Amino acid sequence: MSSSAENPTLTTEITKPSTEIATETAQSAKKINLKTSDDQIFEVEESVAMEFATVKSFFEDAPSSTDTVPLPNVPAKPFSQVIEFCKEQIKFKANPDETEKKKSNSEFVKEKTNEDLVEMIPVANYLEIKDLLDVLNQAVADRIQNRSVEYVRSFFGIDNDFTSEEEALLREEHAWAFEDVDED
Amino acid sequence: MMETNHEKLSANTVGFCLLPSEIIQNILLHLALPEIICLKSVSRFVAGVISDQNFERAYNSQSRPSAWLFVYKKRWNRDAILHGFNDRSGRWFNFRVDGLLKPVICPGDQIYFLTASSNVFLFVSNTRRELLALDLGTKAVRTIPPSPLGPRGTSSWRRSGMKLVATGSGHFQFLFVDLVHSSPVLFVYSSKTDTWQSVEAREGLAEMPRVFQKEGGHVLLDAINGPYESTVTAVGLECGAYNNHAPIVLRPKFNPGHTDGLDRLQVFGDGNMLVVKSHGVDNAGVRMVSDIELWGGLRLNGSWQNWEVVSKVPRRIKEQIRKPYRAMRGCLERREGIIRAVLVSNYDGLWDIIWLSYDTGRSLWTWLPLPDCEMKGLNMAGIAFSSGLTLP
Repeated sequence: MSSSAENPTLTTEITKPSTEIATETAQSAKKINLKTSDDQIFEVEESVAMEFATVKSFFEDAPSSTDTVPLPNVPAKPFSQVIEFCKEQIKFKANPDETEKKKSNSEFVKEKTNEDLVEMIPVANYLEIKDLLDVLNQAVADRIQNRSVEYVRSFFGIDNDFTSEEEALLREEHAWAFEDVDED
Repeated sequence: MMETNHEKLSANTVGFCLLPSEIIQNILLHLALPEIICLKSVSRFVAGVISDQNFERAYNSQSRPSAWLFVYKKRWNRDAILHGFNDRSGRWFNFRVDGLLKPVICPGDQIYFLTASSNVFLFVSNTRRELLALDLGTKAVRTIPPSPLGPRGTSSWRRSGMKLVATGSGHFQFLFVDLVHSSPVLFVYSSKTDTWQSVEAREGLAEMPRVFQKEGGHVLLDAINGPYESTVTAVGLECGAYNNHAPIVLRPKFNPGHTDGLDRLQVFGDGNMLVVKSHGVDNAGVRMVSDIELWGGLRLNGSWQNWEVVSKVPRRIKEQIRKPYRAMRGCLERREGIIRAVLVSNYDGLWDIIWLSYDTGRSLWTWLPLPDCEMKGLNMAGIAFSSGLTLP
């Protein structure tokens, strides 16, 4: 296996902040290399990586391992956003303030597109980041509430596999629940 | 903007259906029941996730503490609408129940909404003086035979003297107390047998039988609320408890103290009372709320001598809710240690609904601001709290 020195971290827009911090606190914070499914390597501070239960247990199983941890189910784009979230969360670990945490969480999801949110869910699930998963589930629910069936389909990219007769029947059966929802 | 998102999403084909169904269920758990019901027609997969028994159980147990407020609105020359506000979702839902009620109503029927519990909604036809029950889960609708007291119209039903109790698997009981030859009698309709039973309440016991005493083990139904004394009937809910243990009569005394020239509105329900004190601001009948007090006094051992002040709505909440009004009424329920009350006021055709709740465990008042439910100029044909709707 190649070490991180031989396999330099990709300086994409995404990983830049972490490399900047890396130079500032090079001596103090231990770094861990994480390799995404699309072969990008993220150099992440240990404290952040330990937020990922999956990575944490990887090290618990093999404490001496210094190799790059492969994350075969994690694409780089949502992963960089997950890292962004966990970095914020760590601040609240040292300094718990529920109101500020809530505010920070809602800021985090507010600026994400629907696509961002939906893509992060499997990543948060695979890495077992419970807090993030809760935040994402709530955020997605907020975006589909009071929306039409058609909107929800396109939100998740779900194909309608009901025949038009079946769908009409279903709608008739549950007609009481269908109100005049926002169609856009 | 939304369109581009849609296109991007379908182009990327985010594998929603590849997510573990547990996660999809967790997302859906954040939605209110009518929203979940609608999503059944998204796709076969989603319909399967919603019909899953584990999901139904999880949804029903987490929605239990949440409360609904239902308001039945009459519209001129159009179908009436049942509006429901859910405290968790923070918004109003339209329940299109008129289509479901159609089989049991006649043209020209004046329908009023009486009460609700779980998925069951009870209406009364004022024209025929009959009770109509609708189950939103099964969509079954039925006319309830007249009680032993005979057919009754809207005005005979007192909110604090009746209770609808869902008994599981689509069945319910409807209980009410009324005076017969000036003594309180409990009437119970069971949907299982489609019959009424009546039991005379027992006088002279100082406290409730032990089986009634635990929270949720009994309901308190008012027979009369006089100016200085109430006659409240405690009814055990434990399966058939009213068969073996006759309901008992409690007569708490009420000493309102000095009224300071203020007008008093009393709202009763579930062994509690809200006293709304108000003063006139002009000579044309416009009023403002001065104080709101919560009264109770039932002891843990089931004895109840006097109505006692439990708490007063704090000044900061009073300042937020204070508005001029001409007429006000309210309803009150107590469930699992939380007392919820709504005060509905009208000022020249404008309706205002104030939702207050009091947590008896934490001695904490909360005001829940309600978005406008577009009631202007409409008639209200019934209002009631209800426990969470459940997936069938």
